[in-house]
Amino acid sequence: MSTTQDARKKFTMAKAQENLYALNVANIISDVDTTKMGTVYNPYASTATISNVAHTSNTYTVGTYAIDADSLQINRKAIASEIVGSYDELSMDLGIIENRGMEFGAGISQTIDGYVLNLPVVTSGVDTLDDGDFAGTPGNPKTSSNSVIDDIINVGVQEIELGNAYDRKFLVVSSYESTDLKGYLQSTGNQVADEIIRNGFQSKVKSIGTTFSGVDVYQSNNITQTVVLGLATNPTDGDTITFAGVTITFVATLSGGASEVHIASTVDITRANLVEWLNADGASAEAEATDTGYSAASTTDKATLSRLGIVATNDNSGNTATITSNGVVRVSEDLTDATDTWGTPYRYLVLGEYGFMNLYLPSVGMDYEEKPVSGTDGKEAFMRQFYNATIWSKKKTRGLAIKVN
Amino acid sequence: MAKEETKKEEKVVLVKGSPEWRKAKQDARAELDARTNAVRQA
Repeated sequence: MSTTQDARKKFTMAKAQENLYALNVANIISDVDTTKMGTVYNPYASTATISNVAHTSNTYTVGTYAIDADSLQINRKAIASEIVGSYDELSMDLGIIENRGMEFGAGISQTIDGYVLNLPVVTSGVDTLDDGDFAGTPGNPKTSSNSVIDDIINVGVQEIELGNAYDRKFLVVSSYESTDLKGYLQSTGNQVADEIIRNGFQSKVKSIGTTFSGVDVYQSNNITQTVVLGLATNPTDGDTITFAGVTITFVATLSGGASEVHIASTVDITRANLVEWLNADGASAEAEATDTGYSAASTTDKATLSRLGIVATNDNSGNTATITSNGVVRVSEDLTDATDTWGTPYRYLVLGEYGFMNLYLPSVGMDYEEKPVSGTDGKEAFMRQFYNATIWSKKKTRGLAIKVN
Repeated sequence: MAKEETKKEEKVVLVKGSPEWRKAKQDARAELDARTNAVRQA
């Protein structure tokens, strides 16, 4: 490797790492440990027992402490890897290897964000507020608007303060709620609003977010979303649904185009095949027969879906497919049947005391390489970050999720 | 007579894009939301 190539590689690594950390909300709101690999053990013990009595003698009660035997293995990894041909590299002004390095850093960052911001939703013992906590119907999402967003924040803060979260707090919202909050602040027109009215919200986190009543608000599209597709009738040839900008076409016969799902003999089988396709991030193709068959998504669409951590489930009795993603995405449909449609997507905001989640992002777990590929005039750009995150038992009352739509 | 009653129970296919079709889509979404929330409450 020449000196010039070596310098370029170092530059690419530096830019990739910069993107990995600079764009990451999880890196700001969590208690981050960059030193440990392997297995980590619960760092938090119980609160101390206090004897609070009038003095009558010199004796006192000796308390005991407890430490949960939780542990966490740092065994998750986010990997980006692509082969860049020499011709492309040399003939494009773009500087394609540098570009891929920066994209890798940004993509891995977003993926880790999605994983961490999903933790409060899936961790047993962490509360989820819904409409029932706002004098509405339990189970329903709380409908956010520019007239109730203050309530959503205030009630959430009250809940975690009752769980002894006294330190500085954060809230991660999607673009929908940040719009509501901007609207609220614009309509109140007081001084606290000025900063947001002028500057908007931080979405690339390079410094502290915007503050509302002592809560630092960050906007991220990587919070968890769930949406239900009602599909009770087999689609008509050419019908489409769109998820995260990826259009999936139901067809009687696969045409060779991307993202097609064969219409099976029953709607239950068609829906099951769609769910299978989504769970594979649209990366798989399946040979066509009466009850099977779909084609892979385009390269761009596969990349989009790969970042979303999609978990789709099929429900034959309810005639629905439920899709949960580590990211807020748009949905639409063009289904002929008048009663088949998407439900209203709902999201989970994350509110907590800084550090209520622990993110392990070991420095030694990050690697960037440019590998020669035998038989190929080009090289493989490769980036990997080992990581894991958890909410330790003692911290479970210091944050929560808020189900909204 | 019995034949006519059976006919009435058949699903009415609405014309795609018609106002009735749009209304049916809206109703279906509301019904789906209600059903989803009911399942979550259980």
